[in-house]
Amino acid sequence: MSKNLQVTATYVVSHLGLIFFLYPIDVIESTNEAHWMPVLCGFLFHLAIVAVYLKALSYFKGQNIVNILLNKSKFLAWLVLLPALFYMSWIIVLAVRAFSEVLSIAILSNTPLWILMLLFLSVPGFMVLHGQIGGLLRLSVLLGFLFVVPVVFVMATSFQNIDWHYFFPLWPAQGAFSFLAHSAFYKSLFAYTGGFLLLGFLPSYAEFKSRAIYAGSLILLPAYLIAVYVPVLTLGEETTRQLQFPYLFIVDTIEINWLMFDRINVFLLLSLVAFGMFFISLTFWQILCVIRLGMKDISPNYLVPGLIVVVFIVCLCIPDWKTTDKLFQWNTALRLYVAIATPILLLITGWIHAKKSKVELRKT
Amino acid sequence: MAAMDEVNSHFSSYPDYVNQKLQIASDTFTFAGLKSLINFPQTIYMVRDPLLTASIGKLELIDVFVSLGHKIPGQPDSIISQIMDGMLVAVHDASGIIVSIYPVPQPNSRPISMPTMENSIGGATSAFNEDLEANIVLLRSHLNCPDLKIQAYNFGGHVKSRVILCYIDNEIDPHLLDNLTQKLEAHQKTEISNLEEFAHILKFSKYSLVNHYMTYELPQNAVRALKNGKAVLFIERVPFSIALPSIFSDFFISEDDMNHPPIYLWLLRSLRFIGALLTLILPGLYVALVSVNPDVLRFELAHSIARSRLDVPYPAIIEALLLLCILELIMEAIIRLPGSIGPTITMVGGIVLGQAVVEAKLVSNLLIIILAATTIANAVVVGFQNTYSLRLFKYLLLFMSAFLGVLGLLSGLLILCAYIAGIRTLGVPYLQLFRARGEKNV
Amino acid sequence: MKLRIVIGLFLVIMLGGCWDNKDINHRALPIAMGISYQQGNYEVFLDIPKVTEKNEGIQIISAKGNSISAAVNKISMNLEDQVDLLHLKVLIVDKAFATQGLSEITASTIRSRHISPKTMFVICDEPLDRFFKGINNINNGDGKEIYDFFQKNSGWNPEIAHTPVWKVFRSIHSYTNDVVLPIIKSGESTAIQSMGSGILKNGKMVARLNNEQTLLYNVYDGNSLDGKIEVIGKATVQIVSSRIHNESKFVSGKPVLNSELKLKVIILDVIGNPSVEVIKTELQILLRRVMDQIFRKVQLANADIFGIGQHYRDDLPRMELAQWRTKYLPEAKINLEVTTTIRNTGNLKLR
Repeated sequence: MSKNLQVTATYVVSHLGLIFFLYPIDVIESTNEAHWMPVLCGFLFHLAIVAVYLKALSYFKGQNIVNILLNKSKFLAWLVLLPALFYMSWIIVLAVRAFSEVLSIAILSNTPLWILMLLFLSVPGFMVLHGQIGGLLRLSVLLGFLFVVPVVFVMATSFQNIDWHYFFPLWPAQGAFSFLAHSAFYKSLFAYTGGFLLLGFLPSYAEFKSRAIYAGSLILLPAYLIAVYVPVLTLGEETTRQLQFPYLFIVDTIEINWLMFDRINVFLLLSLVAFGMFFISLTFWQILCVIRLGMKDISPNYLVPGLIVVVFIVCLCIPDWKTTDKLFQWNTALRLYVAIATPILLLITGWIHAKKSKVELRKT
Repeated sequence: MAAMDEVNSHFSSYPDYVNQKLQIASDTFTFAGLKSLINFPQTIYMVRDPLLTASIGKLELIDVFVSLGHKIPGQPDSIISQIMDGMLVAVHDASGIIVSIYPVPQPNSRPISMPTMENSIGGATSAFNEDLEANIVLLRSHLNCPDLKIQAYNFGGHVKSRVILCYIDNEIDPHLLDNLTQKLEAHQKTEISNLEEFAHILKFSKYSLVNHYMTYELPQNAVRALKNGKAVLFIERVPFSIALPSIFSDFFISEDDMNHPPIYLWLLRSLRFIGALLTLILPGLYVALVSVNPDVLRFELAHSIARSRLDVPYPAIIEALLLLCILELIMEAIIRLPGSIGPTITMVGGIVLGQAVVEAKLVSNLLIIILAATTIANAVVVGFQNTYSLRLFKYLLLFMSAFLGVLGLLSGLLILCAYIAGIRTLGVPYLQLFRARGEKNV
Repeated sequence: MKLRIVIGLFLVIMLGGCWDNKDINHRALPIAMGISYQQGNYEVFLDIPKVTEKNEGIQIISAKGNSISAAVNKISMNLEDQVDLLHLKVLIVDKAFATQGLSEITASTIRSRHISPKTMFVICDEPLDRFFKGINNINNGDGKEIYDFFQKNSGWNPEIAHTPVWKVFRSIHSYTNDVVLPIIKSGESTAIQSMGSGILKNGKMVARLNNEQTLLYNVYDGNSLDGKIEVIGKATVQIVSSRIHNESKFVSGKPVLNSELKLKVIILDVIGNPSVEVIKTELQILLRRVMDQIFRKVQLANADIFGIGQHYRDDLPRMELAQWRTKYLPEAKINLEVTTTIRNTGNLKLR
């Protein structure tokens, strides 16, 4: 039974949680004008790695990445999996830390940070423990159904104050591709590479067509554009640069007279937080997969609490937002390595595998 | 006859035991049975008639007598068990042949009537009752198809009860059927007289917070469940069918909907969904907005809520718990009360108490409105057992909101969603919309 | 399973530790905040509607401090409730403060998540203590007038500028966008009286517009709900809808903006016997004159309240755009073309 809908929903939901927080300001910092160029470049990069990854996986029907690589060669497996493992743990720490900081700024200024971080670890932990991957996949559909309505509503209303003149100039006068030299652009790639590794872990649990993933990324493209362009169109590039979380700020400026609520950015924020927690739980599950299949089969009942404690302690060691940002910046190199090396190494493995099996077929 | 004497002495204290000698044609017969289970005059008439006809036709009387029922051995144990099962035991005195005859039974169950727990609007209204055979008749008349498979299981060692499993061959998920029959066959020694014991046999978690099965009184609902690939079980003396496994949409979809035009059908279903969401969210939202995140409210609303809570001496969560507790008490009390007093108590409890509580400044009147809406919305979901889950879940959201405001509300909702998404019944995931499809084990 | 239940209970108990929430009726929710600045000292006025059974009036509290938050803290300390600025709707500064510069308090408002960026920015034409004494008059009503005055679905009129804090923030950092702030004072027969508006350039008030000019500004900005225009000596018309179409070009190095304003109006009053055509031409003449007045002020102050520079974003490179206010705006020209449709003339015919 194929699970295209569940996989698409998982893919979209886990990415949506990443787009609206740090991504806009990174893109805006990377260039002065024509922000659609970094957005599209990032998106094409994303499509490219996903395409390579899916192609590579298609050589091995119904096997996940850990099994594939371990069957081929131990060395190659750890060349790919160890950085991925490290990267995913790093991402969890950053996501937990960043989400709790955002919430602390936005709605819960009185609540101590460690409680928020604990919440961001325990809820995803429960998701993984209780449902495992089948539960997570189904959860994504339910989450999509429940929370996409507020997200789309807020997205639609966020166009309230825009001034289309800020759209121009469409093509910068000089240095069109100067953003490629800017570190903020590579930082922004985080919103594209956060969730794609998951696709490699799924095949042994759920069948899906690669078309489902491409459909999912098409849904995501408008979200990427809106996250960057709504702040720019409302405030102008110069003003937007001053802000920490431009999109959330814009949503705060929306006025809707007929709604009984004053700050509708809370709804957006909460929906995104839900998606963020979902993303964290998916990452937890991937780490679980690597450890259980690759190293030692420990019961998730002990592994998940253990992971939570470790991540929590690391999170507590990060003193301020600046350090978080710096960690985020340092993460870039590792992220690029994981995003580029994993699909390509897997593709080469798959290619060799296909050739070998063809030769064997001919022999028999 | 020694065996019969032993049987007689076993039943000697039974007021309804009948042991009667009867001369038919040339031979003497002894009939024994329980008159509480057997309609004696009609049964005797039924037995005597063929024997008399046989004697007139000069046939061998013994052959005809044996063909009336089935021969049983002359041990007292087997005779006693036949009598307890409601059979008529007849003895041919001359030869000592003992035959157990299926008698005309005493009616021991109410006739097929209206459902008591489910309401049907625009659908058939005859409901299942305590009689297993009558239930099968009802089911068959609603689902006249050769694929309907019916299997009987006997449970219990000392106290016996029958369980009947029905499913449609092509529709049911094979994993589900395997799981189910395995579990049923493995526990034939256990007694089943209520649903708790039944759930124990099927190994449902004791901590489960949602129903793993739906109980239906109306045959059309059971038939819909069968067509959707579920299994339907009947337990002896349990006046409803048990549809396994229940899935998420059982909260919102009722077979009656199918009697409405499609637009109304979907409107009704979404109404139920909204109702379920409201009953979960509203109390928590009130607490979150009043005590943690008042900034989310519009100023006018915040101001008027503040005014309505002016002299309330405790935090919003206590306020809400207090009133919720009273509401739960009312809901529980109504079930126990006779139907004629119920409305009066509701009136006194709901209106007088509510009014007085507001007047006495113990709770704000907005909360009364919210909790009333919550309780009404709670009743919107299909299936009475399902309302229990909602009633419990809203407390999770309530407490989370009291701690963390709207974020707590969201986390509560997330935990709930994750919980629902993670449940499996006999290998079938709970979170499905129309058909119960199995999933390979992960 | 049991392990999970234990962990869950443990977490709930931990959560219980952070119970420091204050219920809504123990929070003071100020609706307006007045700020005046004298010799390095801020004086803050809070206008808090009283939360009582009968909804009676407001409470005005003031305090001084080195910074705004210090002053607010002082109030919070002395008040029986905790001051919660989340529902602040109007931010009032006095004229002296406005001319001195509002950049800093705008930035701190935006920075603090306690004050919504939707808060209205208002300049007061009289000393703040007198203003707050004026609106704290029980005869005036329930104390929310200052909020209703700027609410689009209640007391707001198109003669009043409507500028939330985030627009001021945008104007401070933008190359091509300036804003106008409404100017009010306490009135004699009503609680509040509109005194036109002030042009803000980089956070400093540099010029003023009267009510009529503000109306045209709002019409130009597409904000003209039910605005009434008096065509002197001829008629009064009410704007039902307005559309503006701009065409930007450079004529010999100077920016020229051709604006076509399409108005749909209905006639309210007629003086004498003017024909429809006369009213139309008079309206055009009137609007052009007002526009010229405003534009002269704008050019004198180098403050681009119409956002004219926006239309040249595509024509000018970024470096040039940064000098828009000083280099191009003084030479700019607006040609206003008004096309009026008189939708109806009411119950009476007009020849």
